[in-house]
Amino acid sequence: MDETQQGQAPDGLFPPDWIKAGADLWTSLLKMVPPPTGTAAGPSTQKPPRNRSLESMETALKMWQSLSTTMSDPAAASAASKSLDALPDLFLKVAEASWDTCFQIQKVNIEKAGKIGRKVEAYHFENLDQEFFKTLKDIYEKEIRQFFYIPQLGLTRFYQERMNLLFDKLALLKATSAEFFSLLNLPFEQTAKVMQQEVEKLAQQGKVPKQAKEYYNLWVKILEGHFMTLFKSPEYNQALGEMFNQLSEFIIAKNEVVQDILQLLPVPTHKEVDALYRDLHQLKKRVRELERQLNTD
Amino acid sequence: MDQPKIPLDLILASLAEDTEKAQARVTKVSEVLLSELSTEIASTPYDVVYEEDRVRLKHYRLEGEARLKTPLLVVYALINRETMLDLQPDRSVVKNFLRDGIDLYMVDWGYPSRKDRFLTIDDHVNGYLDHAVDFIRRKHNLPRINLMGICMGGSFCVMYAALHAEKVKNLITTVTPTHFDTDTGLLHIWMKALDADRIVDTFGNIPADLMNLGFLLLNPARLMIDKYVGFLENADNKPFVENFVRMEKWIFDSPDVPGETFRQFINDCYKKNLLIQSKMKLGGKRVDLKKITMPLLNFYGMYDHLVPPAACEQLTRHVGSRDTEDVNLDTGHIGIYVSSKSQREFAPKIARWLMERDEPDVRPASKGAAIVKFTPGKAARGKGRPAPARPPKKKRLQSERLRPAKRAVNK
Repeated sequence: MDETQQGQAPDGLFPPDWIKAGADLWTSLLKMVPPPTGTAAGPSTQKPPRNRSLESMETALKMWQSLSTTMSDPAAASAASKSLDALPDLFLKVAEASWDTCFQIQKVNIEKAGKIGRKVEAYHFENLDQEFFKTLKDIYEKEIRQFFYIPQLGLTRFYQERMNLLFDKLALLKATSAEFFSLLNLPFEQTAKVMQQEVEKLAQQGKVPKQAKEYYNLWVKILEGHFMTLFKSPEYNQALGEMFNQLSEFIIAKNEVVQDILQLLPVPTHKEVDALYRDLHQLKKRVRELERQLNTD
Repeated sequence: MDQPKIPLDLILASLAEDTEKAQARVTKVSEVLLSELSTEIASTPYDVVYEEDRVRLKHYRLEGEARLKTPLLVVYALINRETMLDLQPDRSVVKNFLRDGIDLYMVDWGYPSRKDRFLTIDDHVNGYLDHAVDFIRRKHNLPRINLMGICMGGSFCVMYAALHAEKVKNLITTVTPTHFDTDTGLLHIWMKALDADRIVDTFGNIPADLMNLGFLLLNPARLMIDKYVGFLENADNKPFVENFVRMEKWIFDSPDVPGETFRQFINDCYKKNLLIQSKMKLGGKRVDLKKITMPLLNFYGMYDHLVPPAACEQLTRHVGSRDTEDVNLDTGHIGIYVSSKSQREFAPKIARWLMERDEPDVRPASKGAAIVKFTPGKAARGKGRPAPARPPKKKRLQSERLRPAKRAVNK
């Protein structure tokens, strides 16, 4: 904008005529606002009720009127103009910061993905069958789990926390169950290998079974033996215990969320009913004891 | 190493030969499965003579006169149901007892609901069981009755007999765990690793399906695969199918276990092994096994993988009674009650044993052989211990062994 233009519209965004016409428009519109209905009925000591929508419109028109009047002042118009000039810079900076954050998150994620590869290597994936599920669980616990524990804010923070906890426990239960069921699969794998050896031995002795049923009987006997060996192992007992623990954790978290939902409904929650049952149980015991004392006397 | 050569050609040829037979079998199988099957269980008639909360006391109808003066109360476990003793008409411990003239009562623990989650072993033993015993004593005007426990129900009976010795004339325990510190049964190994507190706090009552899954996992090869392969092989045999379905009905008809009872049973028995050490407490009272002074007959199964002999056989050595007997049958946990061989041995042995100890209650010899006066509900308290009817020395019977079981029956 050159000097001439600045002269025509001194330090302002809009030509002075526009501003004046705008201010006049709001003033005339304000005059058109109908008076409250009560005034037509004559003077009254009690202030008549006003239409809320008309009031709102009147307020808005007044605001526009004052804005137009303000803009007709060259100093104010100049300040507003400068603020608007700064907007593109502001938007640019916000965008820059947002992209920076995005890139940062992406960088962290890439780093995490890199760690996943390193962890698999560290756990010696040649033992993939035994370690695979443990590794997945480890990755989840170290790299993903913390997202569910980002502090929640605001009115619904506790509800959100309980929901996040439920998702966390569900993920852990899935990981633990996968590990547990993979253990249960081991006897089948082992049996297949041993079956080959057994059949080979029988072949050497010239006693190869000719009926499918005989193979089945041999297979099921070997399988039973493998299950027994597995079930007595400390690893299985540990996995079983862990499985029950995770199941319990999940159910507790699920119950907490259900409890939140039930509170919205006109039904008693488990906690309330359990408290009642506990009282009832203790009361019955006391009555029985009193009865016993009475009978003794 | 060369790959072993499986004679696939022979196997396929054999299968081809069997095709016609198989076709006929399939037709027969469909006929059997679509026909009307008799799969009713617990069909022996009874009356419910006493009820308290969810618990019912069954009294079986005798066809003739009772040959034993003292009635027998059978207490089943809280796991599964007492219908196992009356599973099928030709294999029914209940029918055998009735045939032998035993006046038979049985506790039906019912189906615990969430309301029952706070019930402890004390509530079951000193509450429901004691009330049932008192009811029978009053009804028959007797100071003492015969008590028989099965599995966990047997443990309850041991606790009851120690705390209320004056109400029990003879005690019979069958597949009853009392010594829990053993690694011979998977259940004993697993229970030690189980966090009972956490499970009870989570579930309230222990869900039956969870328990059943645990039992199936004790031997998945047999219980989840081979059993059903056996069923398919015999699905054209109507009596087999009927009995198989009866067993399935019984196995999966499982009530939940009250949470606090489960917690105490796991912690006090499986983990701390308090019962056999006479250190367990119910309602503040110590369960002292030395107070079990009545005759004791203790059955267990040689191939029981749920309650192995090691968990049962110590009981007779720890009680105060001098009249004890161990009977080790060569069968499994359920086989004792349902196998055809046991049907001929188990119930008749109990009937004989009880008959030999069925004399009327007498005062100690020094006071003369008078019948103890009994006022229902009161008189049994503090009357002192009657002298045992027969005081033979402790003996351990292995002679009743049957030939080794071919296969574990379900549990």
